[in-house]
Amino acid sequence: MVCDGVLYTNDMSWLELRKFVCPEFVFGDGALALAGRFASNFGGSKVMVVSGSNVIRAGWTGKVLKSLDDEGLPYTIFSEYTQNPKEREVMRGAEIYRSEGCDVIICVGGGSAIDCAKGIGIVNKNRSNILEFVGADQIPLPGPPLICVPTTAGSSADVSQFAIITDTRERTKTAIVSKKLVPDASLIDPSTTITMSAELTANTGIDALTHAIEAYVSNASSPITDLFALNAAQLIARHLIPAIHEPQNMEHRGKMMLGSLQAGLAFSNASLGLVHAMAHSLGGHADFPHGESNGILLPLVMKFNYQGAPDRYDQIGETMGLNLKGLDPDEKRDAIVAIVQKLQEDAGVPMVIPKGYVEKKDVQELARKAMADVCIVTNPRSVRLEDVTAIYQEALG
Amino acid sequence: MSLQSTRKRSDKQREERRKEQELREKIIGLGTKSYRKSYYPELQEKLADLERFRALIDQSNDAIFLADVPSGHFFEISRSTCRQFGYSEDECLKKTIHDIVPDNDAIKAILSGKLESQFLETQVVKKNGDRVPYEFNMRRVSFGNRSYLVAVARDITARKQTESKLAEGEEQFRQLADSSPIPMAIYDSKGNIKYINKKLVSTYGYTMMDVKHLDEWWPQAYPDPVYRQQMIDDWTKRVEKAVRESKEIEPMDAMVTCKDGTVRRTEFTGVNIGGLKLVILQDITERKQAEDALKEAKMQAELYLDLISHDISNINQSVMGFLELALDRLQQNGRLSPEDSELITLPIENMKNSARIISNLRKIQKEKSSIYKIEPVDVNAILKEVIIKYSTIHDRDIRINFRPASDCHVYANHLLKDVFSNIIENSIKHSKGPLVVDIFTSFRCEGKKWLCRISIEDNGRGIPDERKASLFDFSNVIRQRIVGKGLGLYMVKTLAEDFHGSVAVEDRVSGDYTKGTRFVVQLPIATGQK
Repeated sequence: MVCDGVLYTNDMSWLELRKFVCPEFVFGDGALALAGRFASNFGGSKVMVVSGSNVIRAGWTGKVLKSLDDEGLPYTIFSEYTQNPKEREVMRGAEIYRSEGCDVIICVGGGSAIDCAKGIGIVNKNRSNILEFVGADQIPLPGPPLICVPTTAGSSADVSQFAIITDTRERTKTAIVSKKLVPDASLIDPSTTITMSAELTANTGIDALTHAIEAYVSNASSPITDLFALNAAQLIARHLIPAIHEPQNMEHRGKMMLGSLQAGLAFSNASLGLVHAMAHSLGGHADFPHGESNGILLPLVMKFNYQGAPDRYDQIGETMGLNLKGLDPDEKRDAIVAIVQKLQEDAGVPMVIPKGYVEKKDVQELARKAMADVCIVTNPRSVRLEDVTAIYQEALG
Repeated sequence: MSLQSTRKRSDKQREERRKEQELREKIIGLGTKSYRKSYYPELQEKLADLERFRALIDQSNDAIFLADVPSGHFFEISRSTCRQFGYSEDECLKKTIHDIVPDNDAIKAILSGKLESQFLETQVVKKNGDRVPYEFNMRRVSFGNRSYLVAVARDITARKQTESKLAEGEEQFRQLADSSPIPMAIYDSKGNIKYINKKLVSTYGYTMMDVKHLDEWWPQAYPDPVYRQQMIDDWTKRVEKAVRESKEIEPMDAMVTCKDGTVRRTEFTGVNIGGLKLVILQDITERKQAEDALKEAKMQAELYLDLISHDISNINQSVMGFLELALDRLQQNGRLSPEDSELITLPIENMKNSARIISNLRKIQKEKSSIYKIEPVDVNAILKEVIIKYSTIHDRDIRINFRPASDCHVYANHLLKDVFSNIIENSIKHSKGPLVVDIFTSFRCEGKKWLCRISIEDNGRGIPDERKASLFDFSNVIRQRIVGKGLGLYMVKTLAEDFHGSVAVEDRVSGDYTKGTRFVVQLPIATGQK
């Protein structure tokens, strides 16, 4: 059925209990300049600014620091983290936070920076190793106030309840899921994305699209998340390629940022699915970029999942511009997968896992870890180990 | 596949589904802990902590406060601060620490950043103007960007008074100890000598400068290493025992070499007082010399007594034997007139007296040496023997009446017979003509002690009061010896007292000593005896 424009397979399923949590956020030009005011209003006396070198070089961090200076707030900058932040990097950040006497965190960056900042906060408050919080609802005390200034249009970690940390010993990315990880404020300034490279724009854009699709087909979706998910899918489908080709065009950048935000609000509450479960395993094993992992896996998983939520996938296809009328289910599925693959192709995202990252002998272990990921719980179709193994095999090309 | 294994697999699947559902609920925010990030519960907890802490501080008797740096204005104060300084909270918060402790350099140094912390004793000026001694424990601390002086102030009036009394007491003790005629010293558990009194200095010559520690005392007081070690071991054992048993340190004799090289025989005693040892040194050089002289004299006396009791007694026996032989032969030959026979019988009688004196001396010596064992003795039986002996004396009309109490045993020995014999003999000796002696035994109780009372009274010429007082004394023995008398009544008293009893003399008829004398012997009855 369709409930006010949103599709439901079961007539009354939209009445099932659902919660929607999101941070206070400010969207628009100049939002990042509010960072100092927010930090001050949260009662901060010394700020830890988590920000990577690229973003610092781009000048966005400097603007945030100026706002802190304007408020008379001292700060310390932490940049010692990498893509797919590792547990030791989080612990090091927590140590610096404590030794510097910080009481507020501002994060200026993409998903890695924000996940690392979330980790630093909870480690500090709970005085435990970051890996002790892996899983759902494992955080006893919330971290200190966290203000996010996202500089990519994709991860949406600035509004989500997720933090993905790489367990280097197990060589896997672990998911920490808790409402206590939702930041206190997100200052979403689309202008911060204009300095993104085409490759980063493409990867993060595909990540955002994956968030939208997985949230929409999630077995925990709700009428509220559906609104954001579908809108996000539409915005990303329309503006990703133009944003890559016209990086200075603020309309495309802004729409992509809006799409990313909406996808984030959707997946943070409806959770994700098999694509992310497999991407976490893959990224942890090979330190493979998250956006690329999603891009490679998304069409393969859609093909597998289609029978678990065909109407919802159809809706995604139509939202992305397909006319599916008169097609049988297999044709519909293929058409939807094709449109996603076309988008990936146009964006220049790899379609298979590049050689050198994963060996065939690793596939079983990757599949085992993917089966243990929390994201798999909300996948629309029941998954077996052999299904995951087969998808990984296909992804290897 | 068995039914059981099917059921097990089904249970496992059900459990997995339950866990998956639980995880799903947590992820979508419906778990029990899936609530939005909120600082409120933590804030409430912190506020409660703060309240508890505040209550703790307010309950303290010390004044605890925070003063602003560098102004010294009171910023936070505990209730006790107001109470102690006499101000209301509002009044106090308008004051500075300088108003309470005027012109204090240490406080100024902390407020100006020259000092981080300080402990000081000073005077506090209260609202009513009273100046009271306080101790302050102060530290400079920073909260955020601000610095404060944190202080804990304590009223030490009572402590000061106690210290003053203690100092006074110490001075009194020092004066007392210094004026003591007995040498004494105090040392602590580590052997540090804390005090030496003047008498010790004047007797042995050592001052506090000479012996600051026992390690300095031992080699000077006992230069000989072997003797020194013996003394150290002996003293250490006695001290350990005293501490263990919470008693005084048992006396220890030692030959102490004084600073001038002379050696003094010293008896060490002492007590352990809370880890301190008070040692008393008695210079017993002269006392020991006197004791040695006494011991020597006693040995000589015993030698003479042995000489008398054995050698002279043998000579007496021999002389008596010859005299009696001479008397028999001369009487048989009719060559001895009655007048001349006295020339022989009188020496014989004197020789018998001499033998009795020697016998009594030996008995006293043996009794004093505790040779005879004290045991239950039948008083009535002994009295009967004595009565038979003295009822049949030649040439004397003596009647002895005896009225015994029922079966009567006392703790004594066979010399009890000498007690009664000497009393009756005394009556016979000091009387002429017919003599009546009445003997009674009875019981009486003195306190919790049961006594056998033996009363021996005569109708002789009696004893004047002025002689009664010294009748049993040894001085009386010496006086009587001049006129040739024996040890009789001195022996009575000696024996009665050795038997834990007594002897007394009184007039038979109260107030008229000429009507005769009564001797009363009282002896403890033997318990368990009939």
